[in-house]
Amino acid sequence: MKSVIEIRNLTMKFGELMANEDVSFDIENNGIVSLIGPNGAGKTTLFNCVTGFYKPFSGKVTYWDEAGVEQDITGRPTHEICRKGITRNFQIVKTLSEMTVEQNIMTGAFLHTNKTSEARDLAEGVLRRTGLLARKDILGRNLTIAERKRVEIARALATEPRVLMLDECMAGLNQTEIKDVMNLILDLKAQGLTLLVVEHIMEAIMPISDKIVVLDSGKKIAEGPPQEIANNDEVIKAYLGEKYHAKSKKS
Amino acid sequence: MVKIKNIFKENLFALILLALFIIVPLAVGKNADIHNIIIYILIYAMVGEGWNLITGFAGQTSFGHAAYFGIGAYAVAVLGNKYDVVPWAGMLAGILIATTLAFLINFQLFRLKGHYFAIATLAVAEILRTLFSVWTYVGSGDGIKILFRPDNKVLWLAIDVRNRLPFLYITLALFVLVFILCKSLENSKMGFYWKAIRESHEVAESIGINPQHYKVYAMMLSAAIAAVGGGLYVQFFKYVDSVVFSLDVSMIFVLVTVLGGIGNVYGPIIGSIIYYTLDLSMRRLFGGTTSGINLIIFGILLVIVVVYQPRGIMGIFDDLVNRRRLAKEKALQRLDTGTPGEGSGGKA
Ligand SMILES: Nc1ncnc2c1ncn2[C@@H]1O[C@H](COP(=O)(O)OP(=O)(O)O)[C@@H](O)[C@H]1O
Ligand SMILES: [Mg+2]
Repeated sequence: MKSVIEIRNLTMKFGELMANEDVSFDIENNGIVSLIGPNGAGKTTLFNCVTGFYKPFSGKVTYWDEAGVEQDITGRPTHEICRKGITRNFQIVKTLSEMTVEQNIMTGAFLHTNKTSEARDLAEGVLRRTGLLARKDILGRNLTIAERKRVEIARALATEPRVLMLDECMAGLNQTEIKDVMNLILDLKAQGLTLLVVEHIMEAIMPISDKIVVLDSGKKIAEGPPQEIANNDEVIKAYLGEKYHAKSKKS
Repeated sequence: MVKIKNIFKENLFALILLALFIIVPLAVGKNADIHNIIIYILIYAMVGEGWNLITGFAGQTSFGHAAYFGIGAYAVAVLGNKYDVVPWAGMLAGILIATTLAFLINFQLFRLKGHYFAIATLAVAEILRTLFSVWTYVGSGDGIKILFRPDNKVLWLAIDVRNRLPFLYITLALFVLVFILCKSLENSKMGFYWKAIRESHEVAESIGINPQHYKVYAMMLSAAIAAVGGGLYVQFFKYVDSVVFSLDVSMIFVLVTVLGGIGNVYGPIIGSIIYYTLDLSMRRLFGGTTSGINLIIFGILLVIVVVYQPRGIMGIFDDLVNRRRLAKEKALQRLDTGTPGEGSGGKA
């Protein structure tokens, strides 16, 4: 399968700390790639490097746009990367708190129109897709954490990305809410999007991922389809624990 | 018809205010004092609207708007005094110079964040103040006067001290234009982007906004409006010197907007009315010479507002309206679903 993003030898240092060390992997077109690893493994840092929030110490991020043109996006400004079609959410939610849900989403929708009425129409579509229509007039600061996470995804979606990067968008949600987000991710894939998902909840990530990349202490320790990862001894040792290992073997 | 009715309803508050500003000057007859006060209220409210764009909407604190206000004033005065240029053309020149300066300076300044930016804006006004106090072309320490030209009453209208009304209504008309501009900006892409930048730079960037660009747009528009205010001010006051660039002047725009409600288009006008009413009463009370006292009182007032109601008078007003609306919605919901209100449901 063709890649939309290719990450090569990405290294990011904070002083002496290697937050990402020589990480390479591809994000295939219209796939769901999940990035897992224990806390502090460097997942959010990798997001920040790909989306231009950080300039990587070394390495290269390549992107193929809609027309298939190859572009070096390493360290480009975030807003430029977004306009190319890559949008991310934030692990620590950043709802625009003095704006309503609808206005939060309209702000994203303005990427493709200058007209307020058109932005509102685009936002309505996104509100529907993300099940937020009934909450559209609530101010950001009055939302529950689950709603904030959803608004965060909706605002990113409103920019109509080709690649959507989701950083722990299920953390802190209950069982039904997680199920909803899983379905949303699968819907988005069906609509042609490519997704890079950082997640801790294995039960949610295993069934929907096409590929899993495992980071540990900044280094990539494994990459492959979910079943393979679930049975990879190094991964189990670093992260998953015996419990999930045994469970996946039984099934 | 429905549409007209809606426009009327949505802008009821603005229309009532407008009606007052039209009627009161006529109602007080030939009371020049009150006419003067209303003109001041409108000019400072106008510049407040401009300051509100960059600081209230885009969230970049400026303590140096006197820079653009002063440029607007000097442009009218210098061109009028030296080259007989009519004030309206002088104002256009002021707008051009102020926006150009805003563009050139702030493209650099916006690399600075938060407090550093605020301090830099202050420094810009201080530099201008020093420059204009020694620059002989603009009258250096003596400042510069514009004179009444009786031969052309229409174009040199404002300078006519015998009748303030025409100038008052022109100032009102310009304020209304500025108000409409700011209100439509608030509901435009620009306004949405400014607010996103104010709330989170990172979010703004992540959804494709270049914060640097939109902050510069806000500053240029803001500077243009401040220059119009300065141009009106000098026509009215007939004199300007380098004191116009001082922090005291910058703080008037901050004060009227914060008192009235920062980030709210009604804030500057409401704040300006209150500021002037208070200022005047205090002058009456303490006399003109002890003008330090009113500054202390405004300082205290500012602290109270910032601590207890950061959205100013309009914030208090909005909360009241929202509370009533919520209560009404709740009551309607109860009627709809037939559920009894709390306190009456003790049957189970
Ligand atoms: N801005 C930063 N400055 C210094 N250290 C950082 C910064 N961001 C992340 N780190 C460090 O880099 C490591 C990886 O962090 P992070 O990417 O947030 O991990 P994850 O998202 O996988 O939990 C951690 O040790 C963290 O403390
Ligand atoms: Mg993280």
